[in-house]
Amino acid sequence: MISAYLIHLLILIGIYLILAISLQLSVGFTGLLNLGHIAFYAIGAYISALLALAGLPFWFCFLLAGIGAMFFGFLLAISTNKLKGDYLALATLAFTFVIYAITLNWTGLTRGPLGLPGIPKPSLFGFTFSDNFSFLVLVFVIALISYLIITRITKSPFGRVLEAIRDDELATRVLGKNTFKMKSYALGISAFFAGIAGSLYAYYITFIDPSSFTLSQLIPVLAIVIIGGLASLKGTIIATIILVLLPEPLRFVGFPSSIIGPARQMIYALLLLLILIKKPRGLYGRIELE
Amino acid sequence: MSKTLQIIIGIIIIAIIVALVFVFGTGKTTEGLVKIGVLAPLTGEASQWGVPPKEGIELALELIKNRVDNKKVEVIYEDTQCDPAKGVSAVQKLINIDEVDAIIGAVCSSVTLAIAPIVEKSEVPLISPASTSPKISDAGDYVFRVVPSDALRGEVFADYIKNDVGLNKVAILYINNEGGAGNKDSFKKRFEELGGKIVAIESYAQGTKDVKTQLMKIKNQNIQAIVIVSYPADSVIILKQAQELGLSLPLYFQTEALEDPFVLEAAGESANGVIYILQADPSGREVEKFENMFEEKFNRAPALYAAEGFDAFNLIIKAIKECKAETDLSSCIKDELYTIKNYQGVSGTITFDGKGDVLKPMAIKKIIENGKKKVLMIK
Repeated sequence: MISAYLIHLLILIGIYLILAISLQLSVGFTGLLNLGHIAFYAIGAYISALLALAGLPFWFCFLLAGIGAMFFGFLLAISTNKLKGDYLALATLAFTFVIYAITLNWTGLTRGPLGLPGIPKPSLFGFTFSDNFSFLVLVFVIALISYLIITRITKSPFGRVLEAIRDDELATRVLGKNTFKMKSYALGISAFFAGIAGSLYAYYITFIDPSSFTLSQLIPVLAIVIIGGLASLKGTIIATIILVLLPEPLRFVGFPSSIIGPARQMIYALLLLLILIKKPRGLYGRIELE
Repeated sequence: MSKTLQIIIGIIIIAIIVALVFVFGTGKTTEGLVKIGVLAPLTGEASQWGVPPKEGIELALELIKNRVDNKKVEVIYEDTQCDPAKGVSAVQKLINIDEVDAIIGAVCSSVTLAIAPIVEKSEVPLISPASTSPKISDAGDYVFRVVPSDALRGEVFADYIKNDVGLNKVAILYINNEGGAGNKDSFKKRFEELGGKIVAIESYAQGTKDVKTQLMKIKNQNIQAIVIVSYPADSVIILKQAQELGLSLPLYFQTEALEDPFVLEAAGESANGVIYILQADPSGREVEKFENMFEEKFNRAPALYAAEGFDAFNLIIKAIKECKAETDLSSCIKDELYTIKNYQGVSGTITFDGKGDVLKPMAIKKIIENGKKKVLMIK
């Protein structure tokens, strides 16, 4: 029975891993301070949930969640083309709020705050991932593939151009690179993976509502990217494991019931602060964003 | 050096988890020990509803002196922060590591809906002290609640306003979240069935500090009253701003928020004349006793849902007492809960229907002045 709890935590790690490495691609590697990531996650979750509730097969919902999120990624890239740094952060943050407002208020489609319950378990080639262990295998495989793809991208010539854009966009343009196109691709790919992470979340929790996709959900993901260290995929993996697992041992510390909730939160925050004081660039950070 | 240090830290953390899991997960004897898990938002925005049930449970636990029959009762609290994913983590831990016999929670309907499939599969009975979403009725066999569904409240209030008061044209102002929308829908459906007309529907976001725009829009409509679905904090804002705007229409609050002593204190005289609906006040000595004991322990009056937490706990204890010889305690608790009829709780008379929903009489109350309330009708 212990294993069920661990399996659940490993599934969460898998989902957060996909979400964090894709955010790493846009923030760490391309230098786009993208705070709209949770919106892509939401888009993926909603597309996937709505299609699954309409009876469409898993692979279709799953891929369309990614593609739909990617489409919005391109839209966001086009509309924020001229923005940089803090301004880009604000514009992408606004995007998060817009998507949140849409999921909350377009009640005809999303059922608004009532949420979408009863999302069916995924099935592939006639096999249904009904128990959590098989779902963990699915999440693990998808996380691994996502990791390999993003690693491949960051090591390719395209990845090097992205890093060049982060370090000096003007110089990159002088060298004849179409930086706008490159940045759009980076944001689109990043959004694609956020979308599939959202799809996995919807299939796993089986219930989604707008409150699962607010700014407060973005903070843990951003914290993973920062604590893992910018532009480091290895750091992101370690940080994902640490951040997802860190609150768990605190459940077993016997606080008096009057302070149990706040005490756990405070210790969790203190531990994160300690890591950042010890390692201001994160665990394996190679660069610092201006 | 630093890299090895990090790896060591990582290994230590994982080792701690594995060690704890083994310490708590294995070699445990449930003999002579009953475990009850509590899931509630203890931190964050929703903690205003999560903390009172927890306090009610603490009081109930103290009263039975941590024992039922010959068994020790252990209560394990987990914080959900009103987040479905965190709620699922917490419920997995309660069921698989602590192996609890029953669960009280969750508070937010979104969390209750997310964890319902898990308790259903693990066959652990769950009683929610505060989730009011109509969808929870069909969430499963093991899912109970001691608060009425929003559907019930909306229907009764629509009946009252249309048939007893005789109003035909109203506007609705509601908080745009899961509870607010559910309440609004059930009221609207019933009111229109009875031939009433909803002239305007306005909503506001949770956590909002200004509803003047919505109130102004409603004010200019040809209506007889405003029906409001709100939470405690924004009820105060609505009352104060309605007074500032000189809104003279009668206000009908389809929420128990006005029962909260803090709301009445903060709203002051702007709450005078307001009518609201909630489950009927349980009366009698037991309730008084509960209120006195609560005040003695926590030095303040019980806030909203404290009584529900108290009752949920006592219902589980009552079921456990009936299940003395049972080997499968969890299923037995579930079966016993379905047999509960007219249980005199401190939150009202409790009877579970076949879906685990509670049927409680509703009360319509009016605030006369200075926070004094009068019961107009019990339906």
